Amino acid sequence: MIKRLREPLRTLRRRCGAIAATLALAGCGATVNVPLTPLPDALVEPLPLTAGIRMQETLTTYRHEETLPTGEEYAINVGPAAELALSATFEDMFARTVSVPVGEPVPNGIDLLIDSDIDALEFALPSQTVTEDYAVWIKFKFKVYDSSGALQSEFPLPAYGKATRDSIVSGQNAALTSAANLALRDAAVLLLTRFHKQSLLAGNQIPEPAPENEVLPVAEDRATTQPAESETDVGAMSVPPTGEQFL
Amino acid sequence: MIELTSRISFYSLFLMGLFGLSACSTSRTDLTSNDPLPVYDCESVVFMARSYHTGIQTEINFTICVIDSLDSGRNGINIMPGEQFVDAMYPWFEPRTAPNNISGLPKLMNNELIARRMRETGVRYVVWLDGNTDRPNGGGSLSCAAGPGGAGCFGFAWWESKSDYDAVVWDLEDGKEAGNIATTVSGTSYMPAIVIPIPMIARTKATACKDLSVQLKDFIAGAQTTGD
Repeated sequence: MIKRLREPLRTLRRRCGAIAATLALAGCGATVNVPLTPLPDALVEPLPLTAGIRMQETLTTYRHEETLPTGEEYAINVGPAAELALSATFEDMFARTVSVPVGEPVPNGIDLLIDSDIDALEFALPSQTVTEDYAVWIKFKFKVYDSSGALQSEFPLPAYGKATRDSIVSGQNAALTSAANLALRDAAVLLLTRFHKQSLLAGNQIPEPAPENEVLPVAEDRATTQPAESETDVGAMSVPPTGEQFL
Repeated sequence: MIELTSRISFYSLFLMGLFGLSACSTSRTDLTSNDPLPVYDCESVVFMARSYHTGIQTEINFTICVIDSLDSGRNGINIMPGEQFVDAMYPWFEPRTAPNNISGLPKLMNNELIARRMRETGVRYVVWLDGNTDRPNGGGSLSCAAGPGGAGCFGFAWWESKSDYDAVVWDLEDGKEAGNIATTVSGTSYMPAIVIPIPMIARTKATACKDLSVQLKDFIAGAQTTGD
């Protein structure tokens, strides 16, 4: 009789052990690799410009690590998804885009160069907000250069995404992933709808498309002092001194 | 001991049967509109929850409940999934960019790209759902314990629920607000426990969903028309 019961008891113990281990792991935080949910084609008229797109390595490999006061450790890998989201968005925004690797000179024939980076990422869990929501904030940092490589403007872009855990089954990883994806989509929406107000294109100063394979001369007076719109929450645009060279 | 537990459970079930439906709730629904809305077979309606950027977002399960109620039955309405509409209109109906009120719509529709896409979707009405269910008050004490001889709960707990929702209907063709339906359902739930807990739940959210759906169906599908 005892022998007959031994095997089921062993199985039960194994299953209980597995459940306990799962529960213990669930209390230890999470590692989230954010895959980008493809963005829809944007309903915007592309600007008739060729834009150079440069993604800093800190953006393409961005990983946020944080240990909460409770000891839970979280890691959110958002870099590759952010790179894809921004690339797709810039392709919608401009007639033509050219990828410009970090450290390489500005290629001929581009009208402007956009340098993208992530400044910070924060997240909030239901236990912190006393709601059922997971939230992710990503603060991007953009610099816009003209075709000669002179910095025209730089501005931060804080994006926000919020998701609710649908059920115990979907888990907090799915909710955090969803919140991060919504934050990336929010960043894309901000770029699509407000870039022209935040960058050198403010005040309809859309540069003339550069002739093919020709470097434009450095402009003497290229400072734009257009303030950020008060109702936007994109943040104020800071304008560097005229002629500041970054390349 | 087992016999005593069975007897208590029997009485508990009896009490549950006696009071099971006694959790009370009050409901009020107001409709503000001029006329029933004409909606043709080729037209559809989209339901959207208010942006989480402007406050607490309506629960997803409430939106699903309203859609399921309207999508079923003889006078079911053509409903386009909200995500599909948002993707089709990207980036103009996102949480950050969707117009907060009807006055923002003409500016959006002045853009020929947006207006054309809107026509292509076939969406005639956008119904904005707003509100949520809250528990403003509660009290009592209920505790459960388990031991070698069995398990049981004793005590009494209660809580109030308030479901406050409204649906604002935009007519995209006329560019105006076609109607507004508001529903408020309040109720108090009780849970006495004698060995087993006896939940007497006031299902305020479900009632609000039902009330809102009935009004919306009368309002929109009541005048459903064939043709183009």
